[in-house]
Amino acid sequence: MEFLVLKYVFRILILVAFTLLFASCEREIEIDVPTGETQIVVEGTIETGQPPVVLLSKTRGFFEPTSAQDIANSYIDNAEVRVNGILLNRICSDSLPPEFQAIVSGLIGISIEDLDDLRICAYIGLDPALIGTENTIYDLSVTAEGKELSATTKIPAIIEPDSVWFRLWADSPQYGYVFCNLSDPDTLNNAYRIFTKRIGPNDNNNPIDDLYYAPLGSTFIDEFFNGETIEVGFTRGQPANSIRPTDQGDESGYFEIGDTFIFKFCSITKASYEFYLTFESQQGANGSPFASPANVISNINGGLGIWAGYACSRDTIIAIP
Amino acid sequence: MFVLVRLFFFFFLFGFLQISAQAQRSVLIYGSIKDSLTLESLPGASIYLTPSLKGAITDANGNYKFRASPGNYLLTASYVGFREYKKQISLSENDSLKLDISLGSITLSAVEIEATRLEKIRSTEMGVNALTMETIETMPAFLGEVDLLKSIQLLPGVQSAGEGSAGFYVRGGGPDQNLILFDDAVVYNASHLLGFFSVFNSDAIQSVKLYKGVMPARHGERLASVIDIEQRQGNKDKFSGRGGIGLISSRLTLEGPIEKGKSTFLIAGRRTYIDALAKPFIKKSSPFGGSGYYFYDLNARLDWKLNKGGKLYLSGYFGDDYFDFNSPQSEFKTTVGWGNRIASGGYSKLFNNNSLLKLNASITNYRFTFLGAQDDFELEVKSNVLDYRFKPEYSFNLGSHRMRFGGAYTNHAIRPNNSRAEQGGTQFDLGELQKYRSHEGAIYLSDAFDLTETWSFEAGIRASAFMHVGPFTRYILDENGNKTDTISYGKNENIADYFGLEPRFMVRYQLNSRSSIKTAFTQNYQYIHLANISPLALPTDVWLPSTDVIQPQLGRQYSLGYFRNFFDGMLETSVEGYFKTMDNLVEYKENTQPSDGVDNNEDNLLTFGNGIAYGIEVFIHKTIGKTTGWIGYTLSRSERTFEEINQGRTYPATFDRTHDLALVVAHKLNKKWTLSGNFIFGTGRAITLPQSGYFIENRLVYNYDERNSFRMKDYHRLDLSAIYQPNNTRIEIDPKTGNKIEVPRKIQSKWVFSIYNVYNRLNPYFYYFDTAGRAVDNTYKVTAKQVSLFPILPSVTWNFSF
Repeated sequence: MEFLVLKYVFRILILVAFTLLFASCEREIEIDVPTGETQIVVEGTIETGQPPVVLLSKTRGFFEPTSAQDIANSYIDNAEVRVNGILLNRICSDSLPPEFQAIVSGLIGISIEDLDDLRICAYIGLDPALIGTENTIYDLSVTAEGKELSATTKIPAIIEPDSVWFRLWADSPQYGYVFCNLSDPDTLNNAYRIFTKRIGPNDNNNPIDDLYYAPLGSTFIDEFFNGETIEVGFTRGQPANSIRPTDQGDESGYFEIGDTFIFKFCSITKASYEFYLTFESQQGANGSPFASPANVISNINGGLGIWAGYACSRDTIIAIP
Repeated sequence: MFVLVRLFFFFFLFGFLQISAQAQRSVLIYGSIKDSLTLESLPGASIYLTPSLKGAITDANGNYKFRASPGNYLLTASYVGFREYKKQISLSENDSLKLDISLGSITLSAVEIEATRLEKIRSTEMGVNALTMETIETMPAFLGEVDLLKSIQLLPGVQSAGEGSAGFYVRGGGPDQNLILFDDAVVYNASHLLGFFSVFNSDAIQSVKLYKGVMPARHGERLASVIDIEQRQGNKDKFSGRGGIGLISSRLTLEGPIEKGKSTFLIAGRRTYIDALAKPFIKKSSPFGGSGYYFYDLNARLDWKLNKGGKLYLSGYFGDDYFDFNSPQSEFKTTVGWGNRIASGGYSKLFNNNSLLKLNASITNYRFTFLGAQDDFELEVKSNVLDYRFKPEYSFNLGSHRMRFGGAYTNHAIRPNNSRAEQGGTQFDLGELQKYRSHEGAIYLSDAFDLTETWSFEAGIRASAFMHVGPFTRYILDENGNKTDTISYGKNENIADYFGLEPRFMVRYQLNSRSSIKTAFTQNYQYIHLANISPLALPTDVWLPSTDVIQPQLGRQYSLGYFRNFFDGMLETSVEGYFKTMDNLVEYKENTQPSDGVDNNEDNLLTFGNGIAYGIEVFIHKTIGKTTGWIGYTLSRSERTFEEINQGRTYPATFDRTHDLALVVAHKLNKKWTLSGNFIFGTGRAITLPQSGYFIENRLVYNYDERNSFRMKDYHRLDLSAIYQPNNTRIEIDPKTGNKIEVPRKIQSKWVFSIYNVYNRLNPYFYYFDTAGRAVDNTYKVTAKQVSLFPILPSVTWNFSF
């Protein structure tokens, strides 16, 4: 996994060189960027044993104000969404059944409590025929704002890691990463994405996670280790722009001895891998002069975003060296 | 193109017909021009007759030869740094005149351009600038480091990419389209520390000449420019040295005769010590505690004067940049290094004072290495370019025709981004290491001649060929980028070959003794390409040859210029316009990841497109007097069209710069003080910014629309410098006469005080966006930030010579 981390480091490294050698100066500036054409964004997942959940939103001006209400307003609540021809149910956050609250909350990134105050509608497949199953193809079609969007994904076969464990980082007595051993099948283009969720202990200094979070470098493909058994390591996933003490400073990205967490390991399609890889690459580059600006590769015809199938397994780990 | 070839042959043949007609009526004038003090020949000196303006430039051995009609003339010989020689002559029919001229040197007092005042009017050359080291050394320098490439970037039509970029751009061409020749050897990366300093130690350089795309047939291989840098010969008379101690580096040059009158040597070295200076101020426990950076370079040259007009030289350059990050707080360690190794040897021989044979052989090795390690994981990425090159040329005069015939052959071996990764002794399968082998060759013939007293022509044809050969493995990919097949080529098996004709044509029409109009057409092929990983030119960028996937770049340039001197040549002015087209340019495909080249061919990651560039350059240059300098202004446009980039729509090149202005002034205040200043203004760099955004997993995703549709803030900067030359003589009593005499001190010294960015302009280096807060509590905010590199930076350098 370090290999995948290093490819980002490669670019960042040169930036470090500059910072080291010269006293560069940074300041806030005003930029007048005209808003581009509004496009529809799909954020849809279907996971083994779960119904399909689709959120539809519109692109917004880059510097437009972004309050919770602004985000809520960018979601589309009058669309017609179908998976394999079956119409999904529109369920809005003010009337969301408890079992879907966590899923929708995870997709939007707004906590379950905050969801109650906003009206955001998700499209959920309540039909039992749509519960995610391994090795099944799912076609998505959307009619919204006078536009037609479509996408296809597949829930691949579940590939579980052989073993999962916590390991201290370097000489640190306290913090570490999660590692797993993976035996990759001897077929090319097996792609993976992982998430972590800390479930205990829960105290002010060390709160549990509401949701599953994917760390930077969460996705990878068997291009370089097809059919081999490899050891891969990951940092801890955390919410975007988190202000929790554990997500900032020295603790950021680490598990601490005593943590209990769930390691969610999923197989995804190559198209989903390309989306999340370019998504993470963009997050990592963040306007760096050493990276060429590039759009995230979408698998949605007629719009932006992702329609991803996940085949997931879960392991609960206690951080003991 | 066939029309042009025909035109070429028409003028070529027409010119020959003129020889026989002129031979009977004109008078041959020949001889040599030498330095009166050292008796060394002066190549490149100018000699001409007024009012006809017929004349010649001396060859490599200081000899000249031309014909003129019978009559009375004022003969003028000149060379930069020397007093002009003038003589009234009378030429009668069927006569010849041999005249050996000695020029007395004058002290170079200020900025001077190595082109005599009338030469710009008279010659067919356009889009050419030459700088002497005296000029360059007078200009303010960044942290006191005199820099040849930075000085070139102040000439019209040449643009710097700004601070923190190794690249420079000539007439809208890319950074790979500049051929940098160092004693005729190719330099692939001419910069240290990502472009802050060039690899050329000013103490070891004789001169630099820049061809901005309108190049004679003897030059080719790149579309945009040729920068011809000549290393200095060692002192012929005595052992001597020079050097300088600056804020971040020091340099020392030693030179002298090996066998007096026959052979000389020169050796020059430079090293930065910013790492050593910074070390005491960085705590060992800090993240940068074990880190460091330095660069060094070493130049050497040996010259021999052989019998019967033969000359031989051997020259070498070795330089490296080295950066390591070895933090005590992190398990991540890395070492990054890049550098050039260049060796060049040349032989020249003059036959019958009429023809000159020049041979050059060189080896260039440019390499880049990245080594990163964390825990027991290790990743190594290596790129390198290894060239073996041979370049013969024979030049001769045939009547009034100055002919050149020659060729060039290069054997290229290029390894782009070869990677190795292992963890705990287990090697990752990163595929076969890629090495591209190829042969590049060219032959050329050119003829420069005066058709009449007002019309002058230079025409040339260059035929180039390129062959990509095995061993090589080609990966065949489907439309989704999946490998479907491989083709293996055996040793020396032809994989792809190309052939191109490159006609060159330059015409000058002399309006009067003060002004001329010139026009030129150039067609070039470029077989070696640089794929830029980022919008800035970095040492990580990858050189690739033409292959079965990459077609050669093809450039055509049309130019027209008006040249005029004012105040008896005190002020040289020119206005030049150009239009150029560029085909088969290369870029990485959008969203290419560093790992995509693994187990794949690097050229499979590229996409191809075309470009156009056009502009007008104005150059006003004061060459004489206490105050000298120039104003260079360029109004230009450079655009690119790639089918797979920006949805096929045309977009401005990253280095497209509408306005580019440089003001360079030097004023000799008195014997001790010289003041100088530069002011630079350039339209902001074209950048791509997100025009809208959306959220995925509560993270803001940038959505880019139009490529390079925004501009950073304009770049402008003022630099000043003052050069103080203390009295380098002392008074002694002459033991013979008892009189007081002035004797030069053993060590001559000079202080250079300079201020970079005088008014502390925060020029943008790059913009980025910072997201903070959370939408749910209405604290979410996106802010744009500008990073600038250099505030006002004063520096002092002590230079010495002995």
